[in-house]
Amino acid sequence: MSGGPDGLPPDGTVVGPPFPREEIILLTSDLTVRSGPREILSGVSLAFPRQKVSAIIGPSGCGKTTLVRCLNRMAELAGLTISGEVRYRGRDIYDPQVNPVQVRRRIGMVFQRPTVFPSSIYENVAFGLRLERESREVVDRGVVRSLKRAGLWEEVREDLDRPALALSGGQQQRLCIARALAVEPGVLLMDEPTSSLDPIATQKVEDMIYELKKEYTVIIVTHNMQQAARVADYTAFLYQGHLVEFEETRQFFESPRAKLTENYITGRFG
Amino acid sequence: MTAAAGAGDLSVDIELGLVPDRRVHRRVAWDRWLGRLLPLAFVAVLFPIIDLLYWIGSEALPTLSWTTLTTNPVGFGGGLYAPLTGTVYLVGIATAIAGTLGIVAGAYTAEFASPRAALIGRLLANLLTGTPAIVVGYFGYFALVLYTHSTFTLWAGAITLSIFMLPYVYRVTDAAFGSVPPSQREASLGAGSTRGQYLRRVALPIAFPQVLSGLFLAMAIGAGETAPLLFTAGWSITPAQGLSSPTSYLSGFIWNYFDQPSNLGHLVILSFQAAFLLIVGVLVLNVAVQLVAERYRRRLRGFFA
Repeated sequence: MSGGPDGLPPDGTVVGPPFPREEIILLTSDLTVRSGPREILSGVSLAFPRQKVSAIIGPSGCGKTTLVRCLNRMAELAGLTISGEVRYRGRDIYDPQVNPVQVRRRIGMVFQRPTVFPSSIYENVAFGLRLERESREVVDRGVVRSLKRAGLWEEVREDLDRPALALSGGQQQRLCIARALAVEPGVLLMDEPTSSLDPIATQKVEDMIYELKKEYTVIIVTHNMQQAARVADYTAFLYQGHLVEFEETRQFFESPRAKLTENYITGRFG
Repeated sequence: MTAAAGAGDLSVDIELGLVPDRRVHRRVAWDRWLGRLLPLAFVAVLFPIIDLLYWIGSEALPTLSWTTLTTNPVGFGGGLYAPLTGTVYLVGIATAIAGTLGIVAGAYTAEFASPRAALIGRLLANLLTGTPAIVVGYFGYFALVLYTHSTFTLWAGAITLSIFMLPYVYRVTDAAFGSVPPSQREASLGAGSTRGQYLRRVALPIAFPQVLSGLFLAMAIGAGETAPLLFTAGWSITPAQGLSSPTSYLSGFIWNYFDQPSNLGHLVILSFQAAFLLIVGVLVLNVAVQLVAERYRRRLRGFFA
């Protein structure tokens, strides 16, 4: 790669693997995010293909969490200033006519730590459907379907009315994924979903992500390169707010194009 | 250490740090003294309360009967029906007003208000909490009695009392919603809820026990207040003839009759009984708070980790 400072591509360049334009479900274009005078993301342009798992990796503080939070308009809740475009199926989600609440229903999110509500397992999964005032049958069906997809159904089918807080950490995180899936989002964003889980629970979540891409587009932030290599079809590398490389995962890890990427994945920094 | 060092060998014990040195000795002795002093402080706190309860109870209980609660004050005797129901009405209406306004405003402050507006709201609420009750009463007198060319009414009393109770409800609600972990807010908004839906479906169930205890606290404080009512609800020895007439109330009964010559019937005893009823009311509210809080604590076990 050539162009920008430190071997970074010039801001605004769309960096991405060659996949057909019609495969693009979510696209950022010259996305720049500031917190006061500090620039957190600098002109990130990136296209995510549908029904694939895309991973975003990079050292702590590189802006990867901010990037996913821009994709469903969560970033602005923290008072960040966002410029540039994010397009979901061609529509700019930062268009003033677009309601951020609608955006977040279409583009779901799972957080670093499980964030179950202090209600029953059933009510947790039903949350999004209740917001849309769905009928009892729709909610019932949605809860069962989502729990199955999140690989939690067999473990909790007898205990739907038990408090969700009684579940283990790994179960809670899969419950949060079920909650996000219940409203049938077009894209599921995951911000380091396994960072607070033990290896066995992590394995279960990763297996589930693998299943999910048959129906969903998943964008996962991870600090763990092995995880990206295991679950992602495509991997992006962010460094100091700049997008360095976005590549098909095997290509990314076996023959990265940027020197910076190579240094990172070979453990020379980060 | 060698195997030769047998049990009871002092030099070995010192080496192991098992024999307390002088400094440790001093700390242990100090600890023992504190252990004797702290219960004294505890008793010093409890003594006035117990003495007060004993004093009021011993005056009020011997002649307290069901008829005390069901008959009106008559002449120098009678019962406490009018003041009891008056207090219930006043506190009931005031709680409805202060509860609604305080909870809505508190939730607004915690969730929607800009940091500056929230700061101003909290500051003003603190100011109102610190405002002497008599000043609030005087304000009520001007705003609700003089300005409206009205007389002393139950309405005016209840509204003035609600102004007095408002900051307690407001501050507790604000704090209760503010103490909901931010991750819950993110999870709710991230799942596509509006902020209003977050408040009602996620934050309220978590904040509810605290909000309710704030409301009960405000009720307990309001029930015992006299000053906001003196110039607004006026005084009456009979039950209020509706919202637009003066009313009787327990704290007013004490205010009016506790210093009567004791040879004049049993007005003084009735004042003690009024005080006793107020204390019982506060006790009931406190126990209710504990019961509600306990139920919710069980539900939220493991949540505020």
